[in-house]
Amino acid sequence: MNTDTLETDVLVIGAGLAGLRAAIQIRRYGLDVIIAEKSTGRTNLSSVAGGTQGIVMNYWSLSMPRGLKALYERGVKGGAWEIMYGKDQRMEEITAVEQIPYQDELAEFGVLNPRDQKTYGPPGRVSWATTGPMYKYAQDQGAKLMKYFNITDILTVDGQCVGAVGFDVVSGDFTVVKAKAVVMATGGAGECWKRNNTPTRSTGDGHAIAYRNGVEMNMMEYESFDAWIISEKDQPQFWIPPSYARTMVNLTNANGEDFLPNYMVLGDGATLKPGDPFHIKYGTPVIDNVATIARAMANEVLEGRGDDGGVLADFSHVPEDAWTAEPKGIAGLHAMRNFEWEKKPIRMYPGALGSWGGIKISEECETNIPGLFAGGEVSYGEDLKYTLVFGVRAGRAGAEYARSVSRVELSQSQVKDKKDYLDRFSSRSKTADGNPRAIREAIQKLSMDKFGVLKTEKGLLEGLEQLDDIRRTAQERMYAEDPRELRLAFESDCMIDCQEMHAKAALMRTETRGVHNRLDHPYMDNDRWIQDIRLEKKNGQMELRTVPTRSGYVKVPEGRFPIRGLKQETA
Amino acid sequence: MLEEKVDAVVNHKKCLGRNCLHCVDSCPVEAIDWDPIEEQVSSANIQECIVCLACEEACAEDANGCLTMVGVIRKEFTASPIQDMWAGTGDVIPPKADLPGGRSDTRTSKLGF
Repeated sequence: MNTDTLETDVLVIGAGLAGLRAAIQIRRYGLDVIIAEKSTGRTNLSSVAGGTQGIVMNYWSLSMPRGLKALYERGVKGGAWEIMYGKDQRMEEITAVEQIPYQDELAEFGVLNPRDQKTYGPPGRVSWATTGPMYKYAQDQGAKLMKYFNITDILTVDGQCVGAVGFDVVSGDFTVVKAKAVVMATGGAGECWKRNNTPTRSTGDGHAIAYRNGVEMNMMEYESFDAWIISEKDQPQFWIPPSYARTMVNLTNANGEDFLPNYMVLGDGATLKPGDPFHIKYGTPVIDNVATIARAMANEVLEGRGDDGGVLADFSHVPEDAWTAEPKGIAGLHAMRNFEWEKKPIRMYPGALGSWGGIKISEECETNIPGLFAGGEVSYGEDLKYTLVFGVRAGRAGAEYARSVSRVELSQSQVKDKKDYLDRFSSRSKTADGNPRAIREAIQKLSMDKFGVLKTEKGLLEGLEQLDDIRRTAQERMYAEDPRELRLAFESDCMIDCQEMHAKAALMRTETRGVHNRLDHPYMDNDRWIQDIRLEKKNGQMELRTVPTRSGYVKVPEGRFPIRGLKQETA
Repeated sequence: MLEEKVDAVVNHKKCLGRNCLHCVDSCPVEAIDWDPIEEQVSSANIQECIVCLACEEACAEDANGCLTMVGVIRKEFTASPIQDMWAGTGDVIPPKADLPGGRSDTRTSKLGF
């Protein structure tokens, strides 16, 4: 493995929406920036299944509130992932205020119409209409995009982040990057679950790197599951993206029952009429019930009312031209291409989408390591609006920090240690149980079984034991025969850390809130759990603690609130 | 159902093979992969394809343009016209402003600026 050394002012890790936006911001300061992207940069979550529902004026969120106060309060009281009152109110206020101008600013980067992204772009890359122009714009502004460059760790001197190391996925060359500041924008960890609608490379690398270096992590128990994942043989195990046609679904269990009213609070004027668009049928927009729908689907299956592991989505009454009226509708047709959806319902079951939890950041995207900043899904928030707002902030903070510090000499022994970590995989012999793909699949299956939509203490503990076994196997035998396999091995190694963090945080939160569902605690407990769960590696051990969630002016209702549809006798 | 089967068709004579793999790396769901036995790009997992067209785009832009997706709906959409964000603001002629040194300024300005 040859070693290259690069030097830059700011290193941005990840070329998704947050990373690109951070890089654009850094370039405005006239600083050099390298964007390290472990693949081609075309298929991050931002592009493929990005949270366009986070966009302010998205049409299908027909009751999306207007006005800053309404946006802020919606974010605090629930929002798309329904983490009711469990989010930092100040961060929500920042997001409410800043999302609109930063969204409009996208037009300056060549995004055709930031307020109307539903109408154009490749069907199966729902947000490439946004990230594509930014991908080009950032480079036109002088950001150096290095594709196939897999960052595997950061470098620190006297507790300050001074760069990172990684390898070239094509040549295998080990590369050291000296940087005055590093912005982590590595996205989420949805690929840790077998069923998901995240790209293959969403393996939580940044989460793992941060944790291993003693960075404080936050909200790791909140992994969002999207409901609309196909669960049929010979169909892509991916989502049917949001479209107006999709809102017209009739969702039933195996008994033919419309089960959602058992789980949701219906809005005024709900018609409950089959075939009506969701927001008319139930009186509440689908975007405000994403977590509830996933919970409902999973619970129907768990309680024996599923159809071969899923629920039934009937689109037979939806005219084909409703699908072909927009790109995401066409994506839905492509997803169901080998299925006679016009004649029979298609089976669906939730899959992992995005990681709400991640690196704990300040309002300025600082972490507890000076010189290391984070934005996007690896830190706070999970959909497009957070990604944009905190991508800007992370870029700004990284640039200002880089301007204020001098370059620091690296510790060569530390660089050697980081290289040795990778060489371990490359030096091992090939064995059946050391295959990184097999290890990844084992983590994914375990996560779906034990760390899925609906969790229990028993399941989480069993899952952690099994994860320990996988970790031992990986530590002793995981190998890599070439650089692409090395990327796979590194990712699988990161997934182990991610899932341990997720499971332990989920074990600690003894309630149900939004995307976090505990069957053995089927209630939202505002008396006990308006708390952040923080997580850190100290003396080689994972330590968890709680910190009160930062409040604002939105008053949190006191009490314990049963979760509709979940059995309460275990409470 | 779509009329033609979705598939990634590769012109293996033009394909740069293992020296490239941009298409494989651009696929978010591993629908296409490198077949080490046949030593060529394979669409053995094409049932996983989400028709994002990233492989076709990557091949066209970064490689030899040897991959084409077939069986897909290629309807063109145009963006709705973007409104002038600053439209609707009128010109304002401010009253004489008291500036340092007794100067005044009567330049017009857009409302709000």
